[in-house]
Amino acid sequence: MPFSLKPAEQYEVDADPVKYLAGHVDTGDRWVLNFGPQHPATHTTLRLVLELDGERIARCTPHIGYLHSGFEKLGEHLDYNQYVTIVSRMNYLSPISNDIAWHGAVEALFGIDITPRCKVLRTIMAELGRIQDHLLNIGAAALDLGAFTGFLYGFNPREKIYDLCDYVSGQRFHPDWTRVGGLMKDLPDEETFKRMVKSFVHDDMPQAVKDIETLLVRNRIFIDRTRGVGTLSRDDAIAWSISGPLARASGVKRDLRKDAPYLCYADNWDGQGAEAVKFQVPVCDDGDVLARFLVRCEEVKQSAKIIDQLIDNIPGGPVDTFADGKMVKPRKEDVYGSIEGLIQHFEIIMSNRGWTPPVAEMYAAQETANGELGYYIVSDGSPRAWRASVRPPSFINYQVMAKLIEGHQLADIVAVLGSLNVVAAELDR
Amino acid sequence: MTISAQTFASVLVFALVVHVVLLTCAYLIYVERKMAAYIQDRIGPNRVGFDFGLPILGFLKGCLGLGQSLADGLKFLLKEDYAPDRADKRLFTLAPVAIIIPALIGFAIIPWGGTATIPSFSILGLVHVTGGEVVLAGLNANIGIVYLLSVASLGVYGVTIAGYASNNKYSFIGGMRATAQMVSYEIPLGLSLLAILLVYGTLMPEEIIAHQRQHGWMVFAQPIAAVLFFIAILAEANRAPFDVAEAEQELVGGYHTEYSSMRFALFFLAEYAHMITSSAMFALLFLGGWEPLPFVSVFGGGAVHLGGGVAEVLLAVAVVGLKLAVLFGKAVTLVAFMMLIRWTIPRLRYDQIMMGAWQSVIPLALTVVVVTAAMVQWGRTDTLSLILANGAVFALMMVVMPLMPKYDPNRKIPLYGSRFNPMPGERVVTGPTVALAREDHPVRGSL
Repeated sequence: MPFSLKPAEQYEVDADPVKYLAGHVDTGDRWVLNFGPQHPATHTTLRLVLELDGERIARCTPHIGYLHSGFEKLGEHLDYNQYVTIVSRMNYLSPISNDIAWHGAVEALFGIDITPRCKVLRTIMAELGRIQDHLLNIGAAALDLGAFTGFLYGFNPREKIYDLCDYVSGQRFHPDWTRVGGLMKDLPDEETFKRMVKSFVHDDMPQAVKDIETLLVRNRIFIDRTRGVGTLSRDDAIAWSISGPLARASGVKRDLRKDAPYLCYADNWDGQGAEAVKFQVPVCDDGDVLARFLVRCEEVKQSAKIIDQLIDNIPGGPVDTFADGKMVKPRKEDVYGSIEGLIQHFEIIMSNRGWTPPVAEMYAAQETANGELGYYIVSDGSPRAWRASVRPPSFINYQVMAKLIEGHQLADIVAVLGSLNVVAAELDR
Repeated sequence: MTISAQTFASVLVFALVVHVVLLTCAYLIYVERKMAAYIQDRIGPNRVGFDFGLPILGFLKGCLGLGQSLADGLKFLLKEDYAPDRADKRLFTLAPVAIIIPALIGFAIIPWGGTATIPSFSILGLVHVTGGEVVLAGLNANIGIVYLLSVASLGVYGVTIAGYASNNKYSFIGGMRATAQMVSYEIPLGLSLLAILLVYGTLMPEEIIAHQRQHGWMVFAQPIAAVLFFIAILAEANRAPFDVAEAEQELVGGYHTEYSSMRFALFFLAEYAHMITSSAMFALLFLGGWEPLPFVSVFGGGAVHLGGGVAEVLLAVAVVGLKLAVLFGKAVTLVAFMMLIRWTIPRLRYDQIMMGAWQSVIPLALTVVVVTAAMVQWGRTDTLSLILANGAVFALMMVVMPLMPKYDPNRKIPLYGSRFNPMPGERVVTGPTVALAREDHPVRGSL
């Protein structure tokens, strides 16, 4: 076994019910309200067991696991290309980001450096994934507070991103677009792709964000419902290892795109001295629901800026790494046209062949819309991972739910839950 | 049998108006959906026509989706009438009745068609109607507007009973919220009403319209009272941003979570009926009733004569119909404004609503009442003086507001048993909630 676990006895767990009850003060007028797993506001199947004092939440116990699907276990049975279809289904708000993060980790394990064209395309799609997630989330911030209109303003342009995913991969919702060392296929037509991306980044998306901001940012009710609700301090955010917009809204200046750059966020990404894309990381000190909303609004604009820098400079050349590396599935014309291509195709496809990665462990993370999405791959040299573990930002971020909500009111649950942007499929895996 | 002209007119008008209102309610749902759709860049209902799936009626397909309300109504009629196990069946059935009746009888006081004189006549020689001057309203009582207040406050029973009888925690919370909210907002409703009734000096709707015909609409003379009254009727009707009682995101359906079928439809209809009643009341009290223009009298003050030749009767009926249309149009416009609010702004939180009532709306309404009373005592009840008085109240509010103690509505309150927000000095124990969760499923005998 490549790693060992600390035995359970060594953890201090205060799980004795008798001791718990002794410490519990029975005020006599408490209610236990079962919030979820079937509830319109719980964003799929989350369950909170709430102890209510009037409308106040005295105690909140999140129960997870209602959407456990064995995604990580599947990673031990599917090879490095097949598993992308599973990771894509974890965070279904921005599936393309999961694909890119998964293959980022796989390529780090294999030691592959992908081509500049692939890097640019992946960066563009990753940023579109971020926009896709944030548009839903800033819209849902309104929806959770009862303003349905803002939600649909955010939802409309997302359809354009689905169109783009459909265009590049043939599947609108779960593109499963990346492959080891490259992409499933090159762009069907670069000009059309550019036109679609530009029209989205310059017309649809800014209009939607502007509409939502006009509707909410100066709205007294929205401010009153969000300012000071679910406040997470900077120290707590670090202590609970919160990442992504949540951490940045609490004043933690951390963004993997800047701190551990990858793809086009790193300098010299094309091997010829190209500069990293320029963007700013929005940080807010308040740490409340409003701050998270504002940080997400700004991140969308910064993502658009990144896409703007790249879309006109997509380098030519192949999207896959060199074929001799025996890493990439060859193009169909090579498979049918040359004996080498055919052999390599079989080498990768056949279940007893495939990749020969180094026997190693690798953790690689990327900054996705929700935060640090990392994959911890343990390889035993076979074409399947021995262990494909995920660091899902939803799971880590959801830890603070009880901390944020206790002492607040019932109606604040939806605001806080929405601002955490918990995706149950990713949380329960 | 001999009945008075007023009885005859009341029965006729009320029967007519209730049906018109119920039909309007059904179509207001359609209007609301269309309106929401256009606000949200969608199309809205546009499929259901009146063809009922029959090929022979194929030419009635589509119809801009106007058949939607009919289809919805049919759906409600045909759905299973479900009551949860362990619900209090009698109260559960009573609740929708208790909410729809006040919503419908509230219309009675509204003078839809002004006054008319009716000659004596008999129906088939059986019923003799004595002639005379009548008010074309469901009820011509001298208590007038007070009737509205008493009926409006009955509406809270339906909500409370529904929340209590459903045996559902979400319903119960919804019912509790609605009760507290509706009881609280009756005070500003009554106070803003008082502020204008002091000026009118009467409770009779006809005299209120006559006063406005002479002095201009009350919305110009008492703008603050108008705004407060509108806020209060929004809260009374449980409409956004005061719809915490049925907040979907928090309470699933609120007090009507467990209701289905026609019982749910009654809740739904009651909400819209309530909106029309309160809007018509607003139009009557602040917007000149059935007079279409602010400072000009179009219909004049006199009663129309529903007698004489056929042509004269038709003319009189046309005038009455126009008056009804004007009042109804004003009410529907206000309802549309309520819908616009609903689809634009988020929902307030329950405690913010209560704080709004007791800390801002009620003090302001009281100030307006006191100032208006002073103006009436002083004998200055013309529009200009009242506007100046309102301006003074507004200025006072602007001065006083920043001096008020600041209060953070979103602060956390320490509670016993809380892990992350405990009482000071409390020993925090982190442990499983199994023992508490057992409370969720109390073992009782079957009811």
